[in-house]
Amino acid sequence: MDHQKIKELISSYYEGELNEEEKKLVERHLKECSECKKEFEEMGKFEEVMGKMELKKLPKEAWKMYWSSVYNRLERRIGWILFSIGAIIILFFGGYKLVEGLIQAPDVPIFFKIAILSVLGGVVILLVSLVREQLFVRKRERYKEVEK
Amino acid sequence: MSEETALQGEFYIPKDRIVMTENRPLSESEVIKQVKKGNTEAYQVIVERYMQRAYYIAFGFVRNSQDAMDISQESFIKAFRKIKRFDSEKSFFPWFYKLLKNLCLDHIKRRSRVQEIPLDEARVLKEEREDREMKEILWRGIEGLPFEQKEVIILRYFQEFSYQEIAEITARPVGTVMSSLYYAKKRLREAIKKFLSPEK
Repeated sequence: MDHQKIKELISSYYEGELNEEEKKLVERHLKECSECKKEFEEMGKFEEVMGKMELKKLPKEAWKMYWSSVYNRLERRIGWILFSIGAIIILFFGGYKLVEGLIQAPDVPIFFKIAILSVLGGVVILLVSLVREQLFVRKRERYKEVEK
Repeated sequence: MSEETALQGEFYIPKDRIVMTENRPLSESEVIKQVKKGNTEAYQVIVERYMQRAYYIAFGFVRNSQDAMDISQESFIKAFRKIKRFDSEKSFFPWFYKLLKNLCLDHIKRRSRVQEIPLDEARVLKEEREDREMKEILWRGIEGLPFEQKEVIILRYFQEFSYQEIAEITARPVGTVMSSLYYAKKRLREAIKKFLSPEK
């Protein structure tokens, strides 16, 4: 077996991921090959260093609050969705009534009616454009390597 | 243990927390079915089972406690919103991990445009008297690994997943996981070579 393959097996040897047959293969090879034996020793030192490394632990109290924090955020999200739906309906209905009243008002000058309609039209176009852009961004694959 | 069920465990949910016809252990897929019906108490069981794992994986990627907490919680919220699309016969964690990983990648991408987080925030060693310089170099080395290699290092060394579990979570063959780890370790060993062979 070539040295490269043995080196990969040495890496797995320390992680306890080899079966008996592979272990014996590595051990037999190490008796005959000084280069791989050196690799084995250095890997042992490396594993020792890695074994001493750990991520900073959070205090136990942090975990007691975890679920309530997730739940509160979920609840707030639902609240915002309901609020947004209601606000959109009110805005559209109010807008419709405003335009209707404006068109029917005989004492409002025509240029003012056009200006107001133009502002409302602009707001609608901007909103539609924003929503379309958001949908487009969401659909795009941001990271090729990550399965969605 | 089969590939499909390597991460699937059993839960015991007390009767007072979930309406059930009998008091018996529930499998993960049964709990997920409850969640799909909108049962937030069932979801609490899922969240509490995976919260630490989610946090520490996110912490490994983003190296900031507050951000890791925020990302892990956001992942659970996202998972709850998308749970109807999840096949409850499969393990929850590999599916959830994809959401978590995406949010971590988003965060890393955003942060790289703004600022670097100091490394001190991210790591401690069991023994404080260990060579500080070596730790510093090693952490920088992990930070500088290609994403796939950093991922397997975090999952293997800081979450202690087996090759099989890493393969399942990352949806890559076991052989690829094995060689990613080998090459990651090779790079890290190279980075701290002078500490491993001080005579040279």
